[in-house]
Amino acid sequence: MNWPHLELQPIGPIWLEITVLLTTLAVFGYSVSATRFQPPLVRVVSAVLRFILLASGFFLLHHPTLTRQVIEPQPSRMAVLIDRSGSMGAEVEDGSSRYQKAFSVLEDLRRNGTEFDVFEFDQTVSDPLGAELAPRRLSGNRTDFHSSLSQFLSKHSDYTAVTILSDGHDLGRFSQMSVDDTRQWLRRLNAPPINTLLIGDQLSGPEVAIHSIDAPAFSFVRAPLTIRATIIVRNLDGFQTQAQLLDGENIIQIKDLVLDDQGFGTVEFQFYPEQQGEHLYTIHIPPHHLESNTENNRQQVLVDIGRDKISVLHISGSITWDLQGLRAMFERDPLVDLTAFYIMRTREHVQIGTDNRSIPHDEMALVPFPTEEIFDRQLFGFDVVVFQDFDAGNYFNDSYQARRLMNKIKEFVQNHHGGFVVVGGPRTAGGPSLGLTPLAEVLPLVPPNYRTPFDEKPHQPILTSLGKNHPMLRLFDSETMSFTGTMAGVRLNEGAETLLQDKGGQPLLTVMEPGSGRTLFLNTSSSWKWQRDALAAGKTGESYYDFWEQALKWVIQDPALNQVRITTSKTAANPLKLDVEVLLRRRNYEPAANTEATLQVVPLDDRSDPVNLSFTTDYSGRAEKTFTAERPGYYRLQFTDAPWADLSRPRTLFLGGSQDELRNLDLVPETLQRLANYSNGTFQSRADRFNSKQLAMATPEDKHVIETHRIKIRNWIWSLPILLLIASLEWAVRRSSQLA
Amino acid sequence: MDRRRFLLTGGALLTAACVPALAEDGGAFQYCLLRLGDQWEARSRALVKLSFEVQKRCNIPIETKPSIVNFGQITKVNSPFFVISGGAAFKQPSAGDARAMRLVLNSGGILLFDDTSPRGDTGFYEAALKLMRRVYPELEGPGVLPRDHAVYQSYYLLKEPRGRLNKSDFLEGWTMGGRTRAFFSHNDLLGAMEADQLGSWRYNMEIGGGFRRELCFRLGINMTYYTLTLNYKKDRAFPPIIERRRRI
Repeated sequence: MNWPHLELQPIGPIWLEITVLLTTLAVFGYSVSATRFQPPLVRVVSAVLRFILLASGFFLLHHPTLTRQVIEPQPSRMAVLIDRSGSMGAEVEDGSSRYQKAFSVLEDLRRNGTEFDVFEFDQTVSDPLGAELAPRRLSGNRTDFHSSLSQFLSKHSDYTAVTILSDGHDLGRFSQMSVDDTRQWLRRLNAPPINTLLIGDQLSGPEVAIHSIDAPAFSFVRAPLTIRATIIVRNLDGFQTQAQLLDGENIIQIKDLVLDDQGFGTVEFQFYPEQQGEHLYTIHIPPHHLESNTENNRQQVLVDIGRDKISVLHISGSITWDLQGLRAMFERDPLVDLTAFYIMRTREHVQIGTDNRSIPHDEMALVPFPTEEIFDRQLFGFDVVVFQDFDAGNYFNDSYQARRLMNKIKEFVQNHHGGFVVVGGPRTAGGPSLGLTPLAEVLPLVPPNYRTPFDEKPHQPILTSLGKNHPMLRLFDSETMSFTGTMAGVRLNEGAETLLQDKGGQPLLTVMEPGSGRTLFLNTSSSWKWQRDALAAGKTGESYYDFWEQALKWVIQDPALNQVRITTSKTAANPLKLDVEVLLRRRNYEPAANTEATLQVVPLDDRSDPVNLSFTTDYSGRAEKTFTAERPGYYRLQFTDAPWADLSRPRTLFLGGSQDELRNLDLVPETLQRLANYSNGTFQSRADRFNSKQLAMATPEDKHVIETHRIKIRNWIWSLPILLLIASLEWAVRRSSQLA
Repeated sequence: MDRRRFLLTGGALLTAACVPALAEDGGAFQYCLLRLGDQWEARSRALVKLSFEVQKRCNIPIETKPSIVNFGQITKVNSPFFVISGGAAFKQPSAGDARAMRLVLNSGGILLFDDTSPRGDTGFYEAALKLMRRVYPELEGPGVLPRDHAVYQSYYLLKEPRGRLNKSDFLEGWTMGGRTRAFFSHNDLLGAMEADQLGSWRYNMEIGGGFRRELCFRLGINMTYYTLTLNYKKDRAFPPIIERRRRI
């Protein structure tokens, strides 16, 4: 129990306060002057009583409140908060992690005899760890000092000190808060002194490090992707180097590093990813020979490359119903971003088709075929190039240009994951043959001569063993999908495979995978009839659209159409646990039922050995496995055994709560310093020189308020009677002098 | 072979050669005139003339003679550009035939109604509306095609539709899913193209002369290109160029 203290509140703004005060004084002055003809004693007594009355009124206007607190002394009790975010998994000098190092500090505290409870935090705070204090598996979540401390202090107000063991990384609001905001936040939380200890090796001497990487988590195929890296160089005057960007193990770009006066430099890489899926990009700075730590010269970022649209370049050599069918399919497919160019009149039509009438240019909607623009400058921006009954050789200026641009298409297919579809027709057959151009290397079917005979007879297609399970032909119907008009005498290219052929073995639909791309040759220009014939036969007519949609997906290498599919999922609650579903199909797309296989999980930080997940598929070629990572990081899922290694693409993924935690592993002492300074705690920067006595001294012997009583004098029952009593007294004095 | 058998066989072969082959399976484009109404053949030579112009001017492999079929045969036609020409009300086809027309139009075909009737006679128009209501009951009716419709810019740049008559300055159409399935021309488009075997024009133009006829051919060619290339000229590369040329 202690003495009550008085609290007053202002009436309002300062001008109101002064006005009320002056008015009160004026009233008092007038009342004193009004008694100037009275005897001095009466005058003095009356003035005093009136002063008491006016002063009481003025006092009561300020809401006077008496506060009395019942306070109980509180024993010292400290909470130790250990950072368990992803960045705490980084190694320190002795090979252990920062997280493990933090636990070794607890021994020092214990030896000192300080009572403490241990909690862990990242973006939230755990429950007390209990008596068993041992490092656990890091989940890799992001650090958020603001959120976790707010949560902790509002839940646990009885601690007299908090000690935080951390590397200072903060990905929450705290780093962006101003000094005033920080102070207000800590005051609002009634924060006890917060002691902080920096965990991790602070390096001195020459140093080149990647400070941070700025990259989107998601981007699109063949859309510009920008990755920026901030590099910091310390104690290396005049240092010049280059930054490399790698996709897996392939160098994509190299940029010169230009440093400012403070030793900071930014490099920006912009490129166009060509393949769908997760890409692990690495930024690497070649180490300087004086550097002691080269770990931070390399940082990785995972970008999921998706597909917004399928960018199709559709070129047709003649205007036919087949063109209309394919164009209608492209127009109705919302996934297709179509760039089309159709030859609407040839040189012959210009010369003889106008009856020598000169039709002005502005009366026609035609533009010249932009050969260079399409085949040179914009080619690599497309996913698929479709030649529909196109006699390409007739539209180049000369043979040099033809060869150069055809080579470019070949390069687009072989080296840039391009798709190339050829629909054969009378004009293709009429030559000059694509088989005599550089494209012959990537065409599944090669017309060997300048002109190819065009057979107008209908052919009944037969599925080959590869075609039977091929996704492109999943709705194949031999009754309605006939081939009328084919190029005869074409040769199957080496490495190409036939999906459909006629009775005589002539290939009708062939595919090939030259280099990194895929090509398809449909040996007819009558596919548009498939829909109409199906409708006429009372069927849905979807087989035509489905064929072309699947064909487009196949040539752009849509992962959904790969023979081997690896599907993964993880949860926010347990981000280190990965559920893997595998679908195995053989080269001909037949499900690999009851097959034993092994999926390898390779940690990309090289800190542990790969893990093999062995499984047996069910009747549909599917299997499910679960994998739990030891620590957050990047992992690659891959098959190492034939044939699955050839039929699949390795998948790279991140396991853990937040990738951002791994983008910058440098220590950030400033965060911890600020936290300690504004809460009257202490900051220590060296875990190996940790002084627990310093912490104990900083822990205050605080007292705990267990009860507070408040009396508002204005509401006090005796206030009014007392004032009335004084007023009566004053009246009695005046009455006694015959004044009232 | 006796003489009677020779004559029968020869006659049959000759007939087969003369009648346009309905089951002809080449990929060439061909107009198809429907036998519907009393005046279906009044403009039959116009399509020959138009085919000839298309062959001369355009990169469209085309049969120079139109096929002529009954309504019940439309699903057998390989080149589904159907023309119904007339100037009076016609007998409505059966429900099954209307369904067949819907099937054909949905799978890429197109239908052109060409009204040859003089001003004030709406019998053909009413019959066309009735037919299309049976083919596409869900469609409200024909709409006036806007000036920037692809049919006005699919090959030639046209400001308005022409014809032998000058009844209206717009085309009407039944559009669904971004594609116009049927056109209605009020101005006797085929009448302007109709010529005899020697090439003499059969009908005089209501207004103007040679150039107006040329504009009719241009509209016919544009309709053909629109049928085969759909909204190609609405692709993002063309509108700025076309806009610039229209302003000149």
